[in-house]
Amino acid sequence: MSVALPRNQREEHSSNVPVIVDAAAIVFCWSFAFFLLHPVPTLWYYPLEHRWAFEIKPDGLAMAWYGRTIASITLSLVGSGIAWVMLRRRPPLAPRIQDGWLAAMIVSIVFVVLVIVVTNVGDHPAPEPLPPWYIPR
Amino acid sequence: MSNIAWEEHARLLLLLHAAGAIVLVGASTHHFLIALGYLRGRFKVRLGRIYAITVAIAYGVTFLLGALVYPSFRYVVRGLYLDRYAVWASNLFEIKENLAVLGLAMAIGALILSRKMDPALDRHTRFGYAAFVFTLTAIVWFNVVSGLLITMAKSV
Repeated sequence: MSVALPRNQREEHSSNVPVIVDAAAIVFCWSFAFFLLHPVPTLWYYPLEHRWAFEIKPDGLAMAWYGRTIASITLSLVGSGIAWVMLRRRPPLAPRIQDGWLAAMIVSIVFVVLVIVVTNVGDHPAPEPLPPWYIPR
Repeated sequence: MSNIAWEEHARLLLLLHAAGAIVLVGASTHHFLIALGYLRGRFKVRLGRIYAITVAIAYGVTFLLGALVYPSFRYVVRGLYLDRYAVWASNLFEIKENLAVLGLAMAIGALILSRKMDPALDRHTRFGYAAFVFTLTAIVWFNVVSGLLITMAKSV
């Protein structure tokens, strides 16, 4: 059973919130980059067939974006949950440690942006076969 | 027609997506100026919180509308046209959509920090908040310009 913390300790607890947010952002950035770089099983959506499939490689026109987004957000929530459990009853972390988390978060953001750009620039996607009803406009 | 989810509403959804982006570009730019002020010692906390929630709501709505129109775009626009005649636009779209997910995380982070911090007292949080807001504003501007360029090439 959880017991409410005294007011002064609640303030200390809330002062670790920025570090928890940093942790969530770091997990989000690295998981999103991981899903872009490595062929792991992902939730794919097949727009022409209206179905979802959990697989590494699709057989037909499919979209990994939804699955990648859901997976990264879920992992980020798990990461922030773990950080919250670890830090909720602790006094505020030392400023140097907080700065370390901030620096790690900024590096993670830069990294995932680079991964997003590098994995898409110069890509040569295969066009879909033209259906009989299609009239180019 | 290809019987894709939301295809019959694709143009309306895209129009609403664009309207959300207009709100977003204004709100996020103002939010950027507030966060810049925090780094320079000017603390408009109430205004910062208002812009943080405005950006978060506008971002969420715009993101959702984009996610709904995406299947139509993926097949009719990208699969049948851009991948064949304008590969640069296909690649730009992929960058845009992946950055949009990162932007969603930044919007949520900025919203939480805006409610929890006292920028005059908390240096660490002030810089973290600014990192979220600056990244988010850059993504919003990049995505708005990219979206315009892509729809100039081909739209739903």
